[in-house]
Amino acid sequence: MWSRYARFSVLTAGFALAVAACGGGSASLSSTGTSGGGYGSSGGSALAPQAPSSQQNPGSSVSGGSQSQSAPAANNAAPAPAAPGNAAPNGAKPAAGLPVPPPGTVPAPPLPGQPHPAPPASGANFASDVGVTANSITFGAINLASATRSLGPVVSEPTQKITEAALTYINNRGGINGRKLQLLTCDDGGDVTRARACYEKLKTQVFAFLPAETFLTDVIHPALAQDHVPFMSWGWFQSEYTDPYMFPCHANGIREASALAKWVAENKHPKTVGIMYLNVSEDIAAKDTATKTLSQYGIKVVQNISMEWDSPDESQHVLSMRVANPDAIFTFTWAAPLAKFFRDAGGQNWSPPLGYWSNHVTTDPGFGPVWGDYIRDHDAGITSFLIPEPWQEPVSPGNLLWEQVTKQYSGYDVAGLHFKYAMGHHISQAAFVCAIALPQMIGPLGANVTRTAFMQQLEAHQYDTGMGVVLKWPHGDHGQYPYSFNKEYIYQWITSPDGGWEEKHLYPDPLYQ
Amino acid sequence: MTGTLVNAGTSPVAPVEAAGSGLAVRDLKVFYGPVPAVRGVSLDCRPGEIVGVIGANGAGKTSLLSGIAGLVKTTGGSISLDGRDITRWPAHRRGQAGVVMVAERRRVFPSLSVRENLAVGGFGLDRGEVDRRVQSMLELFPRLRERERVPSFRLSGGEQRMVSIGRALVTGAQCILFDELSLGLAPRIVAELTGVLRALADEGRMIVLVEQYIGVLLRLADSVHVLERGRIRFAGPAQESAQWLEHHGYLAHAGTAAAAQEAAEART
Amino acid sequence: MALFVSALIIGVSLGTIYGLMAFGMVASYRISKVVNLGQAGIAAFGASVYWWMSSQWGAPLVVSLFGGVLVGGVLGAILGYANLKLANRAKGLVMIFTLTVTLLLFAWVDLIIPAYNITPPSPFGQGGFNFQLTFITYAQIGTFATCIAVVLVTTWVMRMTRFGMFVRAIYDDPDGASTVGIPLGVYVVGVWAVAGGMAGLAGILATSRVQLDSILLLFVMVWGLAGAILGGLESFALAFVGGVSLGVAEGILGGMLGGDLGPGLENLSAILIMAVGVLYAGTKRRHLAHLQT
Repeated sequence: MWSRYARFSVLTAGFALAVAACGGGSASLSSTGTSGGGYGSSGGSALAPQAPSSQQNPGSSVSGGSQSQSAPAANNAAPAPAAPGNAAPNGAKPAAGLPVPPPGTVPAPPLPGQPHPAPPASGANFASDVGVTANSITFGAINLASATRSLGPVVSEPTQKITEAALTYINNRGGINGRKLQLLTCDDGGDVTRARACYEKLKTQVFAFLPAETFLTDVIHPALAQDHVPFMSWGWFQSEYTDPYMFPCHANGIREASALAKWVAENKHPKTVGIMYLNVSEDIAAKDTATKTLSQYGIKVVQNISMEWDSPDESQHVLSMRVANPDAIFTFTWAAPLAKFFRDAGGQNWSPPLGYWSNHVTTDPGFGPVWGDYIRDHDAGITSFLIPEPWQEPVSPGNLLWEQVTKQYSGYDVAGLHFKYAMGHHISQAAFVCAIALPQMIGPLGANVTRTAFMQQLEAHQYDTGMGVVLKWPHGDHGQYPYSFNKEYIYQWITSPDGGWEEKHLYPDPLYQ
Repeated sequence: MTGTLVNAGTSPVAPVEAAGSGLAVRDLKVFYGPVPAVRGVSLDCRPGEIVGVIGANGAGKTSLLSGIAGLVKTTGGSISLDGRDITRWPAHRRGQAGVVMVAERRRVFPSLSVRENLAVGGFGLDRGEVDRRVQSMLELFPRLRERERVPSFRLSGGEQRMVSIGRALVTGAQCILFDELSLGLAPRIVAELTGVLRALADEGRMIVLVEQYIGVLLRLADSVHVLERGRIRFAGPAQESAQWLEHHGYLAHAGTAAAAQEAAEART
Repeated sequence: MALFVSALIIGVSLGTIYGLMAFGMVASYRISKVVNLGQAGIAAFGASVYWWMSSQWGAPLVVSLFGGVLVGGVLGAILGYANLKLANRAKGLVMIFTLTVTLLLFAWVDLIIPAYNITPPSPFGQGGFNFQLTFITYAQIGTFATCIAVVLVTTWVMRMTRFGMFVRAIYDDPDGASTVGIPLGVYVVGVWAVAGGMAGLAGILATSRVQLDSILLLFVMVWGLAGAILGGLESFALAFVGGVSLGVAEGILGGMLGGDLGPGLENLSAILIMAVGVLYAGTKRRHLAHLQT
């Protein structure tokens, strides 16, 4: 009799595991909005505080309101995205499960292989491309919300909430030319295979993808070119900067390493350094890049420590670093092993004379209390955006908008959200700036919103986020100069007046050339 | 050694409880998956009786004993001890009730010393009683005394057999299931052990003995059951069984037949 | 020399945790012949209970420590009971079942603890002293002393008490033990409970040194298993020594060679030790089999 219970237990456990691993696995649609004047080609938005502003890229031949379906303006020799013209993407299907406009009011979205319908003579909105109807534009986001082992919930949930808040904010002001924005999300659980399935499912339903956390972005490039799908991405992988269909909204680790190494070399003048890096390709590449940069200044790397994210103990690495005794230590690694290292180094009351210089991982405002006393006065990190902290006065307009929008439409205040989750301010900032700038990116297109025109618009203009970053994606290779994140920011952990944790902005700001 | 037990007049270990109706096995079936090992065997063993079971390899002898001891799951039939149905009892409960199997393989707990091996049989008893019973066993098998602290995997085969019998006796078992008593032992040791078994039976214990050596079996058993392919082919008094065994080719060698006959006559 | 000594101290301190985990795995393996992969989940859950009691309820650290160990023991007992009921199944299947339990407990732990990295307070307090090149914390000393004490007490119980004698009898021959009246189920559940308690303790000691991370404990279990295999899954002493050896290897390789090894080679070294252990264990088992016949 009991063996039946045992079988049931096993099956239940297995099922629970499967559910936990899949996280539901389904795409979910969020759509909000109220009536309003809306953003449009005429501009005239009344954002308070100031919303990101856009301006035409110098030398661009494409005008802001262009509805041209021609190939993107060729201002260099880099390969351009294949111009889809008026053809719908291969294999495209009508949006399933999305709100359908009343019959007769607007044309239906184009079926696979069929040309886009011609714009109505009246200039009214119409289903101009995949994911676009007369009164809505649907975006997609693929994240790893259920990947508990990869901090999926804590990384993805804030990003998703903030993206939804940004779209709601836009919708409450009338959307874009009367079209409300919707978000379809799909949880890949941190699994690339599932992520590809998410992509295949969403590509026929969404107009474009917005930044979210997924390891899909490094493996999807051929599909994007084939499907002509614009993908605004989280900027984790270097490959996102060379794919003409990807528009990264955050600096990648290799460039962070280069900029940070240059800054430390020029401003702190260490003679020797140690480097700790996570044993993954991106961080190994960051280590190599920093080493190369440092060598140009005659700085010797006296110790390299390869970290594993699952390391049960880092005390032996502390010992190894102590023996090497570098002037400074660079860290291009993951939070968990670094926290262990800091904890043990703190226990040994040891730190390099010039401190630790880290990638963006250590700069999250929520990390201070989590990482403990040792991080204060010992560690500084580089990050893409200005940090939105209460002590930062005056608060940058982009961060002020981010705080207000998040608080009003997600129920969280930014600091609370990040102090609670202690992760990901920079990537949720990335999601926010690319979402909140959509009216400037799409509004000028008028009624004829197409993927091609959207990508042309992104490449032809630049967008001031108000967070110290001007987004720009030069045509072709989006990582070429002028790169969005040429300028980054370095913050050092210090003790706040009340004895807590505070981040001090170090100057000059590092530049990547 | 045999003399020690017999001449002592009383058992050196716990006295056997008042005899009841004994062990009664009815239509017992043991299957290993779809493969039948025991297909409806019945036998009785009354206090003071030695029931012999003989059969070729694979006939189901060990499975029968294991089924009675509760070490394998029975798929049919019933087992009762002194009128109590113990068919569904787990092995340890049968052991506590007095049904103990002395297995042919792994006769001892190899990592335990001789004394510990014996003391294990005293599960549930207080320490003083266990010590007393162990001491009795060391008197019954003097050669174990000198190796009392030795890990039992270092013992010879005969010594290991003595340990396993001693352990069963420490439990105070009233029904002992012996599997291949003489296997791998020197004739002199076998002679000693058969004497011990006879004495145990004379004290009122029930003994079911599986034995391939017919001479040994007929010398000891009051009744004999011949097992073939999981079924009883013959059951009867030891004297009658010698003739049946010879007639059915179990006594292939003349010497064996004569020895068996002699053994059977010796029992009468 | 000072570097070697310092690395050795770090390794021994780490290795005793592996050794404790190995000890529990050998205990549960010998009584049921199942590799108990549930130890990692139990360790994580025990550590979570410890953190919850000490940091959320404000219970004294000693009380919290016993709470975590007790919960580990209860979980071990439940797992042992389930193992009994699955006794007729293939051992590999039961092992997978225990792994499933670990993953289930990991998921449960994720619900209990905050989503960010937390470090439970050390039951041995803060501070320490300098020795050679390294700073030896009271937590390291306490961990070492606790693990050694637990191992010694367990060894004493196994060698000198009737309970231990019956357990060893079951280890040698479960059928033989049950036929003399020893209730196998009670002892199997009991031993798995003790192993669970050890896992809970190992989890607390490991996470209070670094951080409460269930995956971290999965790897502590893997190294514990490596140590257990080094002991042939049969010898408690060798399993403990095996676990300590792995910690020492990790400490020395990481501390002395640092980044010279290149990515992943520290773990590879431990895997190589485990492979050697497997070969050794095979030889050892044949040796025992020979002795028992």
